[in-house]
Amino acid sequence: MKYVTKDSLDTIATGAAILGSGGGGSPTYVQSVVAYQLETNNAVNVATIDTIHDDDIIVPIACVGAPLIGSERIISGHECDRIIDRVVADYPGRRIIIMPAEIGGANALIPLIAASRHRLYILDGDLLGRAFPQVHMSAAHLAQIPPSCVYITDSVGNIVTLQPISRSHMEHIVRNITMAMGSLALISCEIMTGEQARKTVISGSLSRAYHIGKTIISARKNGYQPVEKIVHDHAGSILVEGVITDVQQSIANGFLEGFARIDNDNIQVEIVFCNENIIVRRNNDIVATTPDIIIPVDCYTGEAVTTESIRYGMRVAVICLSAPVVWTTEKGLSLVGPRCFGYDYDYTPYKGTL
Amino acid sequence: MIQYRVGIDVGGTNTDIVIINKNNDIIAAHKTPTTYNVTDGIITALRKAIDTSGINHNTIVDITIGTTYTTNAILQARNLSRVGLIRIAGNKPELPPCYQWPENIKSSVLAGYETVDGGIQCDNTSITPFDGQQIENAIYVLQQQGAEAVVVNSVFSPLNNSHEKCARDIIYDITHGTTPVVMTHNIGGIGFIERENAALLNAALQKTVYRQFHNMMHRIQQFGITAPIFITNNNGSVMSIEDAITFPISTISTGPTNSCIGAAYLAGVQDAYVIDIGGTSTDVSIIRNGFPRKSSCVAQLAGIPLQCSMPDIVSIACGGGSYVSTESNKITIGPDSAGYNITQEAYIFGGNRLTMTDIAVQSGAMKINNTKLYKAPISDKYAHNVLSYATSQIEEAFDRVPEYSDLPVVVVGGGAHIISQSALSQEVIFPSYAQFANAYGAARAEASGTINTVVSLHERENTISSLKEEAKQKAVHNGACIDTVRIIDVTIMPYYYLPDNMAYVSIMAAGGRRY
Repeated sequence: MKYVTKDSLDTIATGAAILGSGGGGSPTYVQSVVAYQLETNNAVNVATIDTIHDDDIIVPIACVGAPLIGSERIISGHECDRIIDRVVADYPGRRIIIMPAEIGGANALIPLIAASRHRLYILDGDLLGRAFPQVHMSAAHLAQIPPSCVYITDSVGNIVTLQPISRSHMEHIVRNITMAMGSLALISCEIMTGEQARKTVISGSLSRAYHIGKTIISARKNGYQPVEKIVHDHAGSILVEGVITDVQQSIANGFLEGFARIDNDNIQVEIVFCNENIIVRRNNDIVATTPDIIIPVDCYTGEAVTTESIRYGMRVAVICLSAPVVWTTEKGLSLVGPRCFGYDYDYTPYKGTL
Repeated sequence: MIQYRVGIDVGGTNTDIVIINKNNDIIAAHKTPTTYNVTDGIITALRKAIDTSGINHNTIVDITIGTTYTTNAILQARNLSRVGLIRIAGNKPELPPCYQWPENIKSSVLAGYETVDGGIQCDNTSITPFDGQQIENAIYVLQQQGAEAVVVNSVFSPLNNSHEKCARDIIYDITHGTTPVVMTHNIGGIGFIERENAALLNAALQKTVYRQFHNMMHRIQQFGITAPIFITNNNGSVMSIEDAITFPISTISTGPTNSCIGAAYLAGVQDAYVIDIGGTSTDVSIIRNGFPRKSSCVAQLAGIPLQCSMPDIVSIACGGGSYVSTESNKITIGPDSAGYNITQEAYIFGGNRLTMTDIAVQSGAMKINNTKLYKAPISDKYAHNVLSYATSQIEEAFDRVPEYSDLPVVVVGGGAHIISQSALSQEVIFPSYAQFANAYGAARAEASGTINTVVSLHERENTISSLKEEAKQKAVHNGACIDTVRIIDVTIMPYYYLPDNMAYVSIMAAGGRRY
């Protein structure tokens, strides 16, 4: 993928929703906003990690807050300008490259606004390889780069510059500022040099989203079952196919927590989520866990079903795709494994169909 | 005195009518071609039905009409008013209104738009302060641009509608009440763009719908029926003509809704899958508790995403009039259809096009009582192949609706015989009067009451149960029988990141209409 135009958004959005593992917000909320920006400004060129120079400045961008709010108080487009202006002032004369902070969900598309308005490259990579609920769950934390200056801005023009002493402070303060800004803000954090990025970034995630999206859309067009094509082309597995027979969702500490039960004639599984899908259990057995990508998809369209939109009676296939390798290391699991979400289980790599 | 109820469904091809008695039995049923101006067809249908049943005009208690008038007005961009939009949005979105709408509809509807300060945040504070002067300025600009009606859309108006109401009062003041104003919080829930889209179309429709419905009312009165007229709503209940004129967007999906309800009543069930095989398409839906299941997705019309209540219907392009062709062994059914020209175009009627009706007759699935039938130039084997392909398509659509166990399948519509009992594993019911399910659905549509509100669910059970009671009372106020009124739908949408468990709650109650 050399560049992103308005016409490739649908494909990226479809794949990014899968990588969202149930979270990250549905990209459909922001798709038309981003399409309009790409149409009225510029198509965006994509850079791969091997073309990055040591002294380039990589600027991860994402929306934080509640996806639902993004569907109501829609992003203006100007938010990105304020952040880019600051970064340019901080690093005069350096080449700025935008990067999605988080490839899963709506945040795969948001950084394209900044890249399009300022004619900047977008890096084919991110810091998560999927979606996670907290800002410290990132490859930058894993690589032990000290946290950079953080910019948080809202749509009316407020901007906060934060120099956090640790990522747990960063998470806490960003969350509170976001709330004060109306529970939706644009953020840039983990700003790093090209040299740091090469050791840190999860490379290829934008094209991974694109290729997954392409699989689904072309399967639909050619009359194949999208679900089988996804797991075939992207080395995943269908855990189970069935009907949602029970859903419970509640908000605890700003997170969407709950479970969904899926039944087919002989198998019953339960997906437990905290914004994203965390574990899948069958009776008392754990059959899949974070950080692997666990995502129920519509059996017929292959469309990802988010933890916000999952409803009784839906017919879904629960798909698992491998997590980026950094997350399944011992250090990675200490940041994003099941225990980080309060479940006292070891990481269990998914196996084949139950 | 014996009393009767009339149900009419104005479809793309036919205007169907049924007259029912107090036991809900059909005493007259007719089909007549739909006319361009809608009302002529309605009057013809009324005349035929009353003549055959022999009932007296003054024994009719009410007439309920479902019509595709609004849908067609939008799709054909016909007779729409020019609308000015004021976005009360301190966040100043750059995304313009009507983005990615079909060009002909956009240019007929949107006169211009202005963005002003204000709008609500999810914590109920203002994004930026509301400024009445900006509304005044905006209205002058929009009038210059030829706006006949105005939509005001404030961020989070479903949560707090005060900015929209202030804006409306200012506009009424300036224009001395001559400019109709649509406030989006009256149209739909959360989703700024989708709600705005629905409100713009609603505003564009009001004038033409006013003329249409008043003309219809007048002609029906001239015909000698003074009973009240009701219009069916997307949600499966009825509304008054006044409400239908205020909220015409609520009538854009009444065809499939009426069929779905009628099918269930004809089959004598409250819960079922409904397969409605019409002339151009087959619709598959689910009815629960006598009402079609509401779609949880954003609705669409002509590719325009809309935030308004619509039934959850899976539609495929396979109906009785659908053209059938085969190219290198691949069968194609639809999406083009002979529609109301089927009696000229289909082979069996002496035409020269192969349609699904030819296939159904040749394979023995459908019988047509007409002495002068011709034979399509196809083999029996081919007809069987196409029919089983059509059945597999319908089955696939059937698989795509959400699944509930043990529900019967009710098959209705003019093309009902395309599908056979053996095709599905569930119990299949082919009710009598299957081709009048839509008109019967209109006659039987219930009265409802809906409460949309934002509340704290701190005491969830108490709050929800008192809202349920309120919805029931509203339904009774709108004409529902107190002994059949029940809760149809409860939608709870929690607002994330908010203290006090705030949530958007929508509750609908309904009951059979009183006589």
